[in-house]
Amino acid sequence: MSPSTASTWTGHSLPPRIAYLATPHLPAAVERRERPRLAGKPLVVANDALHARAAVLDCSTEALDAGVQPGMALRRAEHLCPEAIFLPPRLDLYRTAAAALFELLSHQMPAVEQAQPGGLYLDLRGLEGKDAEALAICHGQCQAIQRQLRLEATAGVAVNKFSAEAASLSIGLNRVLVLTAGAERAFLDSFPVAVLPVSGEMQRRLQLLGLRGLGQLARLPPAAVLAQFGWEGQRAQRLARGEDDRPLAPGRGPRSEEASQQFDPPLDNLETLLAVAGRLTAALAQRLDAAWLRAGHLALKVHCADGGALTAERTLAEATADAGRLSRLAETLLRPLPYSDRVEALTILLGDLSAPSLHQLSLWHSPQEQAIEAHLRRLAARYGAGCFQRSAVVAPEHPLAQRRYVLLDWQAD
Amino acid sequence: MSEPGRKKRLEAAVQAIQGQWGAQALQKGARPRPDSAPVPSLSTGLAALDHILAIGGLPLGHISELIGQPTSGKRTLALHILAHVQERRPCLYIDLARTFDPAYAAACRVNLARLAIAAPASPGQALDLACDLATGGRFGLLLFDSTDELRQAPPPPAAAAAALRRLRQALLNQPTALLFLSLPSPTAGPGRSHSPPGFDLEQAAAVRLAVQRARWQRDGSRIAGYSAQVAVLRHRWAAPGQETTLHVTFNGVHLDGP
Repeated sequence: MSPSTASTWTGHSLPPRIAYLATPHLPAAVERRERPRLAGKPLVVANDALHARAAVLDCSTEALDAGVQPGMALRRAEHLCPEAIFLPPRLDLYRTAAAALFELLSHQMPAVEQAQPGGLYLDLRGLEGKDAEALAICHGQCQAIQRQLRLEATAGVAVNKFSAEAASLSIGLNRVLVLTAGAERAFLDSFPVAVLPVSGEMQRRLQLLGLRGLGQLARLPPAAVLAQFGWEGQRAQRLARGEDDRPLAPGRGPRSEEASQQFDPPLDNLETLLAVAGRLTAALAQRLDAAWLRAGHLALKVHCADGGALTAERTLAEATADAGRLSRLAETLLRPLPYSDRVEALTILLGDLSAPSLHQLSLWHSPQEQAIEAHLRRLAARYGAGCFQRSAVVAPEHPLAQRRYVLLDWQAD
Repeated sequence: MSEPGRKKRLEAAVQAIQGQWGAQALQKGARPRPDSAPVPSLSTGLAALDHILAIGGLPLGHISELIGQPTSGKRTLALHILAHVQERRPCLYIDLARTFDPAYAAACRVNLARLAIAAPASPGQALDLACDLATGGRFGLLLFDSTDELRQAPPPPAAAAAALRRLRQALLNQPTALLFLSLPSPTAGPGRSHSPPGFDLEQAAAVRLAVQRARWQRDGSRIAGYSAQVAVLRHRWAAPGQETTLHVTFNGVHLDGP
């Protein structure tokens, strides 16, 4: 199949200069490429399929149509799409495919930035006002990817990264969408706020305040957004208005961040070591968040007092800058290490850093949270419906303490 | 005396004691390995506090108590512990006192989206609820605020004692820590909590901590925070009496060790 369809969203006249080229659902696409007999069948790549808390890492469009979503519990995916073929992840294979994609485009384009595995920003400077040429170039790249890597791609062209990425995600495979300069805000208006790369807490507060679309957020007074959500909200509103001043940084960028802690006297308590690891990962996560990066790899090194060093590492199925998730992973790696003596130093390194991409936040809770909800529901039936509550801060700076938060029923949406 | 002679006499003395009282009477001490604490624990997130607790934090499967006057930093410390535990395990706040302030909890870095707050209608219901919540070990930390409220409509002493026994039984071997916040008794002397008759936390709690504001920290004429002294009043697996100082600063509510 060749890239056959293209469309142009017309606004007024400034030229596109950044393209976002992506191979959607890279893990599923790679699995299908490696096993052609899977063509046309619903495919689910499960993260750690043997584990009780296994989740969907990625899935094909056929599985998506059946209601399966990345991040969903595997058990639920099996229920929704019993005819799907469930595969264990082959992360090395996916990384190799992403690296090959980067290499291919690096040879053909003057400047390429890897946003995430399978997603690349291309610098189209010099094509000011030449939408047709930008379209042709992106078509050419999609064809080259299909020919050489046997993967299907999609591309969006706009004046900034966020709009380009949104454009690429709004169309199907083998299509290119060129967003004319000045039309970004109108184009983004109908997108849900869930695509914004912001924290889960901010997403929750947006939902709580009834802000469902980017258009709603964009229309609010900037001062009110800043007062309500702080700098993160201000950044999100600028994205919703189609304003994204992140420059294109060719190459894979600074691809690791490191933090370490010395212990004097050496430490002999694992729980304290885990607490320190939690702090280090929190500090690293904060650094990543400030730089708009996500980590795809975590490695740690423990220096013992007897001179020995223990190392452990893990590649994440999905890049993250979530302090809690990184902390839990560090704990998982630290607990089983065979400590030969007390610990003198701990170093944590986050690698495979990439920029956050547009995402649909998972709406599904973990099995543990589901069990808790069920338990609380049973207890609420016994002790009364209003017995369990949760709270949310809605106006942290409000002079009246009782206006700063709301108390909600635990089961309220 | 020469070194070999001293060693020989020591061995003979050890053998004599073991011969009379059994092999378990006298054993060689060993440095505890990081994973060989006498009881699993839940780190408080404060290295200084974990250090004085000797087992690495609050004991799982047991009751702990935190005693302090109002404004001593008791609730701030509890919220910080809760915020830290929340990073790994779900937590629940039993708000019998109806004093839970989400804005303050958020300033203490508590993730409100993942915190369930129980608002029991009466002290008796609060104890039953704590018992039900402890069963199953779904929560990492249950924070009970506070025992002073149990005095508002105190259950009969026998019922209070039975509730406490049930609580201990429900917690047994569960990966859950139950932390009671208490006021010190105005009459019974320092270190005694103000709980209803029969509800003898002083005996039931495996770990009891007392927090006391030591001094205000000033930034010019402005009060920027305060230092709080935390002391271990009772510890089932280590010697009590350990103390540490924590510093609370009001700018966003930060809590640090010494």
